[in-house]
Amino acid sequence: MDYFQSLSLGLQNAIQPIILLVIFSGVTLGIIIGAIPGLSATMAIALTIPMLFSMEAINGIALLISIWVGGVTGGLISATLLKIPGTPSSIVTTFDGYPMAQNGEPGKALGYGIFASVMGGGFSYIILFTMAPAIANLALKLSYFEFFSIVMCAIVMIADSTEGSLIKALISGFLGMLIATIGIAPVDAAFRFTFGWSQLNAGIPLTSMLIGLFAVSQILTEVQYSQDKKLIPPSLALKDMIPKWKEILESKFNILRSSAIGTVIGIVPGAGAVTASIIAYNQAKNSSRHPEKFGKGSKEGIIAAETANNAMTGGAMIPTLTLGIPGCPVAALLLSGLIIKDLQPGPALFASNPELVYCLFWVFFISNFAMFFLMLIFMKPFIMMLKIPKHILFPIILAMCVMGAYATNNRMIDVWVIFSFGILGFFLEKGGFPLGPLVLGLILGPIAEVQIRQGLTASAGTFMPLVTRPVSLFFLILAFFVLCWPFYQEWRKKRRSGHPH
Amino acid sequence: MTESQSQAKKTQNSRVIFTIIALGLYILIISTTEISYFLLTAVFIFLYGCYLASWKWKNILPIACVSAGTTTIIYLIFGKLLKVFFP
Repeated sequence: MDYFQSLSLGLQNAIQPIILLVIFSGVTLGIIIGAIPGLSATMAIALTIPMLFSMEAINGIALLISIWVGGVTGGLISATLLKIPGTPSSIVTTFDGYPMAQNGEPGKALGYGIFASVMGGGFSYIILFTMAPAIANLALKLSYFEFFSIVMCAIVMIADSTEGSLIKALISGFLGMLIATIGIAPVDAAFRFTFGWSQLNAGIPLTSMLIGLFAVSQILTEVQYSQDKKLIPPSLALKDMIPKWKEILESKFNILRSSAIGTVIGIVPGAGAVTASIIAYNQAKNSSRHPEKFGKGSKEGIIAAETANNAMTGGAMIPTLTLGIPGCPVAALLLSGLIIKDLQPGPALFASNPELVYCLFWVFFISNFAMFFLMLIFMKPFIMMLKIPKHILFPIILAMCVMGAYATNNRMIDVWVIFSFGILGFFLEKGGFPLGPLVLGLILGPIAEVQIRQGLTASAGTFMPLVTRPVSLFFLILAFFVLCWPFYQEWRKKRRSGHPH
Repeated sequence: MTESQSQAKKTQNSRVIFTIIALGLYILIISTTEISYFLLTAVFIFLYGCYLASWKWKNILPIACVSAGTTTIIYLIFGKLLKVFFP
């Protein structure tokens, strides 16, 4: 089946009424959850994963994608009106969105954000459409050793691009890989860390771990710090929120640059939407004619931040779908959703299920436009959602966590897993150990193990192909440099300041 | 650290500890007793919600309505449609 045939088949699948309904529901849920401070798209997706067991693969994954697209954009509502980022990715939007809203232009601030989001998302999905099939074709030619080197390089990159200490991020990533070894080994069926407990033979259930790490631990963090902030709903008219053509044309370079930054950052495993929006914001400020307006309600600032964080979504899906290596924690959740539906992401997925892959591409596109229209038309009800108090939300979410974990396998051990991993995630975050590398380690660990062990079987036990095959050697050297670069920078900084020791 | 700051920190920590205990107890009761999951969920949402709302009278009625409504929705979706049998 050629590229255009697959594209049209994917579109036919994506515009089925049931999928359109799923997309609109998912985007609406995503916007609401993204808008409410303390709840994130990651949490919503983790809680939605158990529903996949009772849904068709395309519908289930479309639901997760649409929640993600809605959630990333929904964060701008509370960032603009309350100066509280609804999702971490909208932190940068608070810099200019809130001051503009305080200057009496909340509609304009939201309008710029919505418009920038749809442009950033659209750009990255075009790149996804065009680049992903080509990368998947190349990836089909890779051997076990090359895949292993790519996965190792990705793990190092994830740790390196996570904010905070590199050592802590690496520890977090390797802890994830260690936890993933629990259960029966994938190649020789040896029992590892099961302690004779049959419930652990299949390993610790991934869905429950994700619910614990992303939903329960977030609730624990939120009950500690968050307080309900009083919201005075602004008066908004639709015409205030639609930017003028002149304003759009003025920002065309800013939109293109921020879209490109967001997409590229999304492709790098682990970097995430926050990094994308910070870099795009700084670039917009440096190349602006009015850098003094940044931080005081600059249109360019809002556009740069929102374009980049939405562009990240398409970028992150490129390594996820083509190599099976998630670009960010949310992509890792999507990847686990695909695995639940017996679909192994990677180059083979493009050959075995082209209609599904291309349908998912279209789902991103349709979700993007659904988000645009829903945000413009239903902005007032979405703003009202910000008024839901925490004492109503948190108990419901915790009850949903328990129910979702139990519903995955009808076993109480899954419920205890969300409880334990919720507490573990809370204390890890308090100690400065990021959860992103942990989750990516959980998912990438087994892939790396299977690849290297199958490679060793094929090479009669020698590791030499790791360094004799050029692609494998390239990624190992890249991993080495990525790992050493922060230490080199630190050493150079100390040397310059005259304190080498 | 001033006295009010240390008091605020104590309150924050106690909210986390209470949440862990409440969730642990809720799961423990579900897994070890024959009491209906739906009834327990309603009670959990109500009591935990009241705790977070500091037992203010004006919040109790809305929380009671929400706990009853949520449990009914969970029952209708998961109890009937998906035939998930909770203990």
